[in-house]
Amino acid sequence: MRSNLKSNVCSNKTNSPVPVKNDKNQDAIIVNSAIPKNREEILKWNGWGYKDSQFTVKDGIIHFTGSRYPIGELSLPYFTQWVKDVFDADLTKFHKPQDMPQEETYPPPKITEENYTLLSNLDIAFSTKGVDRLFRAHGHTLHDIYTLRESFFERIPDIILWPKCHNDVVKIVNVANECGMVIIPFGGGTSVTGSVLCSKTEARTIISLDTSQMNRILWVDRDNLVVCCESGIIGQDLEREIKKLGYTVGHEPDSYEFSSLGGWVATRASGMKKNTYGNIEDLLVHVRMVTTKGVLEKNCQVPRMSCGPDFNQVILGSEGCLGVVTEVILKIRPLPKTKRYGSVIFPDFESGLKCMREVAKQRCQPASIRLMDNEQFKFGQSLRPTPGYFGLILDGLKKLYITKIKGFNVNSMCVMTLLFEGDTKEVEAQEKKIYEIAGQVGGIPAGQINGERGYMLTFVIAYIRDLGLEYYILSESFETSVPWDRAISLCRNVKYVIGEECRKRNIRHFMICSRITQTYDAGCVIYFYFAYNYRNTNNPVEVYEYIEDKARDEIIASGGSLSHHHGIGKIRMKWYPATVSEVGVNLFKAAKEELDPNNVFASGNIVKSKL
Amino acid sequence: MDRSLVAFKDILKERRQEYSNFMWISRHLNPKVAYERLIKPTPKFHKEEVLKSRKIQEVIEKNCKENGALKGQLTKAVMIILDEIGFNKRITIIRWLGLLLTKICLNVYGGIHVNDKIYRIKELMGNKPIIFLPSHRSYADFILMSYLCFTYNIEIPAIAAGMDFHAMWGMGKVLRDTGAFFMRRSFNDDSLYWDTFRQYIYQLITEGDLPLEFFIEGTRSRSGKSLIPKYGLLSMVLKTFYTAAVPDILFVPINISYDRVLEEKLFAYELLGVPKPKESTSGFLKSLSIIKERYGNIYIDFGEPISARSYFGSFIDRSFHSIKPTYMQEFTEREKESTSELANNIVNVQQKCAVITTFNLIALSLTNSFMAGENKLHIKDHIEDVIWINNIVKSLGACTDLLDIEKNIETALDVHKGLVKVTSNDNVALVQNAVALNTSDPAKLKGHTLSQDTMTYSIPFIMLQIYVNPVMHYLADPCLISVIVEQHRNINIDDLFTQFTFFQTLFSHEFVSNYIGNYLKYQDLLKNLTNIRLLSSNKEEKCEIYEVLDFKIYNFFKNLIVPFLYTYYMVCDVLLQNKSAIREKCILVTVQSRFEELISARQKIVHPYSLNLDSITNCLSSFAVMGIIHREKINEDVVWSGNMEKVKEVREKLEPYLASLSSAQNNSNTNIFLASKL
Ligand SMILES: Cc1cc2nc3c(=O)[nH]c(=O)nc-3n(C[C@H](O)[C@H](O)[C@H](O)COP(=O)(O)OP(=O)(O)OC[C@H]3O[C@@H](n4cnc5c(N)ncnc54)[C@H](O)[C@@H]3O)c2cc1C
Repeated sequence: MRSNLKSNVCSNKTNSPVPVKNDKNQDAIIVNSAIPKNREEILKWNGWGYKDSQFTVKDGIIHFTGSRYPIGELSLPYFTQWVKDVFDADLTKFHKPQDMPQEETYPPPKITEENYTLLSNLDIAFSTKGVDRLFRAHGHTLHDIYTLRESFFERIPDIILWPKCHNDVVKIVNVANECGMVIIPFGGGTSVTGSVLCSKTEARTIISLDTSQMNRILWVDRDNLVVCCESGIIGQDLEREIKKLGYTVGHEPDSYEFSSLGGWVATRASGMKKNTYGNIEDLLVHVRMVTTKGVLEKNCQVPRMSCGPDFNQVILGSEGCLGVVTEVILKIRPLPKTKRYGSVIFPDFESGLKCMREVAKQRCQPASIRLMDNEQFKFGQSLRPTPGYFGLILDGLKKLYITKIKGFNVNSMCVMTLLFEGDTKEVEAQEKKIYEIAGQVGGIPAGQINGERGYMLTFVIAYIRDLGLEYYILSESFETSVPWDRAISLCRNVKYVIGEECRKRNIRHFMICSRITQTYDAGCVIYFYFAYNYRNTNNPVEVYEYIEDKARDEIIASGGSLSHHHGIGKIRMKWYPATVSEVGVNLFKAAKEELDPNNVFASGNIVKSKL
Repeated sequence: MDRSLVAFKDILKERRQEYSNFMWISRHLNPKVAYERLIKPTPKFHKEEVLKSRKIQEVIEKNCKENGALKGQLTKAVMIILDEIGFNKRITIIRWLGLLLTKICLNVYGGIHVNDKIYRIKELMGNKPIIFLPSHRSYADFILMSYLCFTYNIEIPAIAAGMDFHAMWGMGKVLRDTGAFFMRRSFNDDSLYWDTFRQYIYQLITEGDLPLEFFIEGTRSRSGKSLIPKYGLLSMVLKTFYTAAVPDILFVPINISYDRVLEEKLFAYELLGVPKPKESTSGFLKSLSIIKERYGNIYIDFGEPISARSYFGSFIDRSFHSIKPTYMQEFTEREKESTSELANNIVNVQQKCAVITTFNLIALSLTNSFMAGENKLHIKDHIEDVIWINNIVKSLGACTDLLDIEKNIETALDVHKGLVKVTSNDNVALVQNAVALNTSDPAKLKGHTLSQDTMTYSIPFIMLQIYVNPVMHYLADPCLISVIVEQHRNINIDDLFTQFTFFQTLFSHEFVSNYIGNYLKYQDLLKNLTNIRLLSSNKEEKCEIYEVLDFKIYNFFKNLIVPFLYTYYMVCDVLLQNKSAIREKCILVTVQSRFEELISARQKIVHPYSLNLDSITNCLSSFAVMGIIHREKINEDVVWSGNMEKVKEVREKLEPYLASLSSAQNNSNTNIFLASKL
């Protein structure tokens, strides 16, 4: 074992941005990522997102810092009040998280002299520094963040490697396979399933294979409208760079500022604008995955083929258990001429859902269409610097119109947010159609600003959890997909179960709300947000996990899926066999056995590997 | 199980004390609903939703295709059905009825005692469907439940009612306006009707806000004993849970115990086979003459609410129904089993919640004396008997209302003065009224045409038995153990168990029990019977041997069970006389006529309850369940046939019990026990 090894940043020879020729002899685009290799420079070590962006309490009022997001530098008196009303939060009781560990306090990496030499001679950047290992030891589940703030992980990676290209990955995989080491691919680390956590009992050396430095756009094919990227590219970089050329990929998971292309493929991610651009599996034209047996890929770049089972589908959702995704060819689209937000309010969730169902039936979904329930609607309304929960949406006459003339109940109404992208004419036609359908079930258009707010909130909402934890409020979200006819009962059932579980535990201040985030021909996607005040609860995370388990049981009982896009990871393994049948489990195991007989990719996601 | 009357509160007390009942019924109401909805669903909304439902729309379409019916016509047909079914809610009617009921109740009842548990149940309400499941002994059950809800500010439930009410002019409407919905008899096989009805229940559970109420026994028990539960409505309700249309359903078993049942006389006639007069409004008004009489106390108790979620827990996997639309889902075998198990459990809890009233004890004492062949019963001895019986019954787990002995007995006798009276020489006797039979048309009789004499003689005994029967849930098992032990002398614990289980099974429809073949309960029972010194046990070669110790108790138990044993024996006998299939009606007639002969001979003591048709059909049903005989419908007739060897075996098992009993007694003077009214 060696300890206190130094990082070898400088020794990497390809570090200087020499233009690289790719296969097609075009210049690859070297992407200067928004997130530096040393993540701690701009990212929080124990919470979500950028260091400069966070909710804080100043003079008893909640503020959002920084200028990255539209609510930055604003004080939020209504949100402050909302937090007090709903959670009985005491904003004078700051719960300080532990400080970042000192370098010497990290457990020494488990690595033999030989292995260390082998890896350091690969000509690939590496590090065994504690902080680097800690940054790549986790994703963003409540459990992960709570652990960072209150204790420490039982096992963290021993060494970080930063390959810069496909061949680097091949080298790493071969060495690991030959010398009995473990690889956990790490993209953006936004996993919410425990998928990048190290298995506690793993005795072998664990390599965290950080793809972030393998993030070039290798080539752009304008005739076929596809782009070939290395898997480490993160969402915001990809969009920014490709936009410069007049295109968009249009894949926008809510985590897209930080999550990576490889991560999307490995988790079967879904973006907000999938209606226009498709989910990751629709966008993906070609993919290379490095396994211990070689590279799994196809020999052509075609839109579709009928050549036996589609192995892309084995790669998609493999959650780092089968190999490393290195290069992906994705579809791109010309940038839309028009981008417009919109919103509609409904007297209740049921009528909102009816509208969404009808929109899906007529297949006239705009890029994004979402429906917030009443609780979430109120919450969203509170996040702004103007008076009253309903002030913005119900300004002046409008408020009178909605509550008095239309008779909407403020405790049942809910809002649908819309994002249109496309030709101006197209967008106009779409808008017209949607508002017409909405009108038929009693919906009233509520303007662009409300729509835009809704989407902005999507990015900000992730920051709220950190604030909550500082004031004994714990929160987390989980999702599912469900056939249309069961959507309402599923929401009701899950809310009921959570309510009852809270009551049983004497948790009096909690919130459970839901949102429909995607629509399909045959069903929709539902997100739940659950938060509670844990001042009087021992083991708050355990309690949370217990309750989420109950909720998941109820989701499955109510006809919902185990997951629409987050994946299985470690936290949902127990439901996997029932989800895919015993035969399915064995099929997955057989694939794993074939591609990775030594269990190099031992993150232990989806099913427990026998090794 | 220690229950006491302390937890009960008389809801009439405040009504008696308050200055104005009118003020009370017109108070501001904000009743607790079962399931709070953002927008309160109206009765009309439910009907519209049913019609609009995918299920009904598809049924209509299918019908159109298959039978060429017009869509408009079918839609109309469904609407008519829905109008026939659907409940309504008119609060003014409820208030006026509330006032009327208050006035009546104050007159006829000593008290309506409600267990405080109702507050806890009320607390559990608000976020899920809740089902009230009262025992069914009287039409009054309906009304009392609603009155109770009105009193405790609980939303008056949607109540499943039989079509017989619907037919009553005016009454049907009043009941509907207070929340009753109507259900046709199950033998009706109009599929459009049942699809609509099922969808209506589905709608009420998944989208409704009211508690639902129905009688799991399906009909009023004429005998005063629990009936084998019906599964139909319960299945419809549970389907919403199995298919995860709702997250939970709360079932509240309720027992309503009466000091005196409104329909006692009618029931007595019905038990003998004189058909129940069709419910008509004038009949109802006539029954309002009831107001002049007194009916003593009523006790309403609640079992621990059963949450479907925790009851079915992990052994029902609701995700089984995740594929295919909800409305196309069928029950799994396991769900069917679980449904009936739950139903049995509910009845069991109802039984446990009974309150045994003083008159039940009096009825036990009188029946015991009669069966013992005593000529007369002095009031003093009677009181002593009642105390003695009270102790036995209590030690077997019952809760009785005998507190102030002399006073309670006096009041009870007063309430029942039409049935029991104390003669001038201080003897307690049954009141006999000449029965005028000319009113009933023999063709309408279900069984044998009993003579006027038999009827006159039997009716009071049958009525009395109606008050013995509620206690039989506590006594049936001890009775069976007693006679088996005495018959077999020094029987060991395992043989006793075998015999006991046989009898429990034989009487499974007579004495509905959840514990048939349950060894643990059996051991408890033996312990209990040894504790009251009915039995003594000795260890012989490592085996417990039992014999009767206290013959007074033994005789008491024996006397109670003999009428049943006798009927079952007679059924076997009649079955055996016919080599081939036999019509049910013929069985009823023959059994009854045989008993009539025995009774009129006055040679030996035959309890007239042996004549009752209920026990005869129970016996047939048990035989059917035991696989001995089976039932068939040929044309309009129900016909039984089966394995006569097995019937013979049963008869042979029963025979020794009766032989040892009937020979001993020879008393020609049983008439003295009766006093004619005039
Ligand atoms: C606030 C927030 C919002 C989110 N919103 C969405 C959303 O809208 N839609 C959505 O789909 N998800 C969402 N997620 C979940 C998460 O962002 C996605 O699962 C994402 O795809 C993970 O990408 P990543 O690069 O961060 O992967 P990581 O977290 O680094 O890894 C996830 C898994 O993929 C494996 N992996 C990563 N890279 C590779 C590779 N190159 N080859 C093989 N395996 C690899 C890892 O080993 C791990 O098992 C959200 C998460 C958060 C915290």
